[in-house]
Amino acid sequence: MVQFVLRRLAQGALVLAGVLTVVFFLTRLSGEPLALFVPVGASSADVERIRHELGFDRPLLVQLANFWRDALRGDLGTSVRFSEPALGLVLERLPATLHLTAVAMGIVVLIGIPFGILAAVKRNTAVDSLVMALAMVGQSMPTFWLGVILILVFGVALGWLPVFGYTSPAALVLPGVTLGAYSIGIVARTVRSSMLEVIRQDFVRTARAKGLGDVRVFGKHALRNALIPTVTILGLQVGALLGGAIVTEFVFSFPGMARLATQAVLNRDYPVVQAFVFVTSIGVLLVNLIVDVVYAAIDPRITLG
Amino acid sequence: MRLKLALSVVVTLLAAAATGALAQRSLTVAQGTAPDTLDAQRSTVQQTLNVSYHINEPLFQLDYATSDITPLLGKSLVAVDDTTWEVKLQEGVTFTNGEPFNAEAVRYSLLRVSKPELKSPATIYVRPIADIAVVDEHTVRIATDGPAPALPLYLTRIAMVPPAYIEEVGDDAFGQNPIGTGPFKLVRWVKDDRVVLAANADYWRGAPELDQVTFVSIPETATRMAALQTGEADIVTQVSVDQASLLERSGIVVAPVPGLRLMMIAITLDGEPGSTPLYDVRVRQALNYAVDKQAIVDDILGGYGKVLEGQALSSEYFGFNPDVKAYPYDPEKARELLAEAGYTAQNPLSITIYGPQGRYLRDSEVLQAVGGQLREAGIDADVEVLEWGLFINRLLAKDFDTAAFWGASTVPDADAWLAAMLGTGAAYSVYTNPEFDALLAQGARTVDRAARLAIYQQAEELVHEQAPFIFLYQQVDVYGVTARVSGWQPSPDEAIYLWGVAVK
Repeated sequence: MVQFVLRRLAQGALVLAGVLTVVFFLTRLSGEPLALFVPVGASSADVERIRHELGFDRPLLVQLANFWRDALRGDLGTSVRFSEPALGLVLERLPATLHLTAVAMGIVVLIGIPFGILAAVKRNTAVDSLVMALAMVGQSMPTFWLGVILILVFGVALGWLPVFGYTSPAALVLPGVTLGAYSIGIVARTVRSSMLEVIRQDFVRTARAKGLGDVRVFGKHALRNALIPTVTILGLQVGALLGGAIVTEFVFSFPGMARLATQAVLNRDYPVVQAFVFVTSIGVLLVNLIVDVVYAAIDPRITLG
Repeated sequence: MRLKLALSVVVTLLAAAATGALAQRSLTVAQGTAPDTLDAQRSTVQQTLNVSYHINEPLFQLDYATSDITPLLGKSLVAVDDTTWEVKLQEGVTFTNGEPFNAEAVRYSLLRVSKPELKSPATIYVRPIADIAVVDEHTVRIATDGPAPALPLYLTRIAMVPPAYIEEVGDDAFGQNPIGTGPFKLVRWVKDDRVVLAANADYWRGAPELDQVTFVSIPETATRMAALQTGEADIVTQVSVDQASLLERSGIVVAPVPGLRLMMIAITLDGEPGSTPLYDVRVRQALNYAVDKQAIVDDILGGYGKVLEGQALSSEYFGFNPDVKAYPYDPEKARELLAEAGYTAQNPLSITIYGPQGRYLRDSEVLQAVGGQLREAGIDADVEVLEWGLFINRLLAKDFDTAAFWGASTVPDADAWLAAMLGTGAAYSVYTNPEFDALLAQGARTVDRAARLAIYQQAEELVHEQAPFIFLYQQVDVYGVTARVSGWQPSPDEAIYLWGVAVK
């Protein structure tokens, strides 16, 4: 078990190095953060001087070597825009994004799993069709559009909830729902189909034959087994939620790290983009690891090694 | 237990009452972008300066109604001779850390802008300055390396900073936590989100009528409009034009003002003469005749634009020539000129215009409309819309072989705008014309106001005739203001200044 975790962590470090290198090149494909320093009124000579001062006139491989030299000492560079360590900027904004992701995940679990069970229990009825139709709507609605609609309804028309920023817990509601909507659908559908698969199996028939009622059969015997694929899906959704946060935080002007990253991409502030990808990748790798460990815990057939 | 509960309820109520009282005199401004720095000397972006000018003030202000330079930290500005300006300072002003504002602070502030480590874009404003002499505690003399008639205007763009504090904490720390003489003090800055300012009760011109001001950034237009409607924001920039009437019906004041941003299509003319058909002046004039500017303003911008008068300045800029008029929309004339230049239906002129998306009011729609109008005039016109970051990089690399649609604004003076946009070797200029450069140089060295105006008006005639741009329109900036705000007027330079502004 310990060996397994250590090996996975070592693999994770390799993945991280690969991701950072790819991002290094990707960010540099579409231009440099020069506009921040070149006002209307500057000369072409100024542009060259600024490129030199920022180090962008050096060969790309030299820049990559410098990046790795600093990164290995824990320095992911200084934000071109804010003149501050990029990693610090991202970490400063991490808690807000974690709160948002946690709320979204809570909504996904609290809505997605019960509705999935409901659809499985009432399979091939109107309830099932309705739940699955709603799941499809949730999955296919563009995040951006849903966010704006929620703002107009619950912010402008009803005046119940704040429409931007994060100055109170109430401000988490609309972005949380927006962010979670996509994953609710996926989770509900997964729970439904794995439930359906499980309830056809022998041990469920045995449970019924023993004369157990629906609640015990579904709630204890079937659900525990159906949860295994669901845990995988939930783990994967963490990555999806962190990605979705980019759009959600933009729409709601939510002060999380994804919004910082969006601005950094628009301004070509490479170090901040890299620091964001670094932090996000660590998050996804850790969640994957946790999912595997949890797997072993809930399914005795799986051993880690 | 009961007592504990009761106490906590009382505390909560008190806290709510306290924030309620505070909220009464607080105001929130929502802009589309967030500040990069709070160091007023390190930015030329108005949205950034809108925050920092409340903390660090310049010596002078520009009054757009009269075009006069009016006192702020500087009491008076007198030209001693062609290359020397004397500035008298307000007396008894201190920075909020107790440091005195005096001639030494002015000297320090003006010199600091061009410090290489600062990499400040505002360096362009101090370039004419050769020397700064402290005459006495409240007088400085600024010597320029030749006559610099635009210097007073530039002095409205350079904020005064506290020398001892900056020397103590360093430049970057100052940008995080600035201290100034202004009507507000920094409370908290959450980057890319909000800046909270509190009133400076001891402000030298009198305490502001607001206790707290918050600048938030809401990039998404729909959300910005919603924040205005829910009252979460009181002053909002860049109101979407199709929502203006809806907002007005819900009691929001919609305040339009012609801005300094001039939208044009810059034609690339800094390469080998004759390397593209656009080096033929008849072709460039034809392009101007082929575009229906008024239709674009009316149909796409909902009237929130003002057609440019066939020159590279609007009437807000010093140097505007009232005798030069817009190229009329005349596709027939365009066809004739093109035929003269050798382009016919069988052999059409081919041109690609690049432009950004989401940067300016309805930018990609305008670009598409221009493309359509040019095609109607028999031109094989193609438009290509790029993401802003990519666009600005290619613009700076001078990578657009035929033409680029964008808009720029500077201090409202021909010296700044014309040199930046059309001068040989300027970062954003793709034009080279020795005759025009000579006029610019002459204007930049002429102190007499009337003589200087005549030179720039002559330059504008040349610009009209040579048509290095397809002259389009001046953007009208539209602000939304809630009814509780009083005493605020929008300004052509996108400035939002809240001293003297009150809320009901």
